[in-house]
Amino acid sequence: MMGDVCGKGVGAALFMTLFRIRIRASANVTHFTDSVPPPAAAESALVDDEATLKSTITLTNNYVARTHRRASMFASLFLGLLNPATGSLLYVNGGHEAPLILGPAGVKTYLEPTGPVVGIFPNMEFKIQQAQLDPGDILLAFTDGVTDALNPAGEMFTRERLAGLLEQPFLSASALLQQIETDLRAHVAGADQFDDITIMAVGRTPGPAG
Amino acid sequence: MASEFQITISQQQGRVPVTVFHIEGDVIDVNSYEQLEAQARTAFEAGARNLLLDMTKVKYISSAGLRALHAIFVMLRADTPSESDETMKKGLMDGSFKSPHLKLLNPSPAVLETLRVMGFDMFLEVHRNLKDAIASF
Repeated sequence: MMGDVCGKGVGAALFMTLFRIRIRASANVTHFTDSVPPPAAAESALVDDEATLKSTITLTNNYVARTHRRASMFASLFLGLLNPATGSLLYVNGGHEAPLILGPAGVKTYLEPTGPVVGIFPNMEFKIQQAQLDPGDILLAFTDGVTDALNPAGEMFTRERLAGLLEQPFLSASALLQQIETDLRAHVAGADQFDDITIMAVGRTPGPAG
Repeated sequence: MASEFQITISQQQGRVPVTVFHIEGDVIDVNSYEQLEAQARTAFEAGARNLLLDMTKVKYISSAGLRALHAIFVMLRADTPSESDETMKKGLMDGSFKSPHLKLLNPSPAVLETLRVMGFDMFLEVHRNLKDAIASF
């Protein structure tokens, strides 16, 4: 899960907490129940995961849009459910900078938004999509604090520079994170940070598909 | 570096009166969104019901800037059947609903991309010249 609430300061921080609670509560209701489900085929597990994602983002969106409509608060939100055995990734992307899957030869796919940011209007449609993380692939998600980071001259890091960086092969998720951080620090070069920066990388162990 | 945020206001007459906010700063972010929202509210209280934001000079809009756009959109939404919750919801889904009261003029490619990623292109109409924009209200 990765999200970014609009704005800054205490108000935005409180809303982040609210979003987190709603998301976790909604996800737990449908995904982590006390009862043990009967052995089910992979297909029906996939249907369950899809329902979990759908209800989590829908409940969160409707709650914020209805209860806090006067606040005009919203968050971008990427929610993914990864099956570590198969590498199948079900996801929903509510207005978040597209995460991507990186293979040995560069970016394989961008996980583009499947709906608007969460909380602006009730009853929005969020589509659930599926992607595949093959052995050796890395899933990279980040906030716009990365692409919008300014150098002392006021120039942004940009999506293009990040994409250029991803053209080289990476041995692991942590090596990728390290490289992005190094490049980002070199770009920012001590300039004041105006937006928070979050980067997450998840690598699937190289080897035969499980 | 970011230029100072200022708004020059002009009044235009199409089929209906349209208030145009020419945004002079190049950034709408956490430092300027409150000013944008406050000036829109002042205009609304003075009777403005249709607002065109001239974004020609804006190079960057942050999520705080989008929050201001959303707040202005909500403020300008009229209590009419054509803008009821149900009509809007259906229209947002099938792409037939755009705000009749808040429109954008000349957003840059970077601003458009932000609007697209966050889903704001769903309800905000974009125009490329002032005359057509005024006539569209």
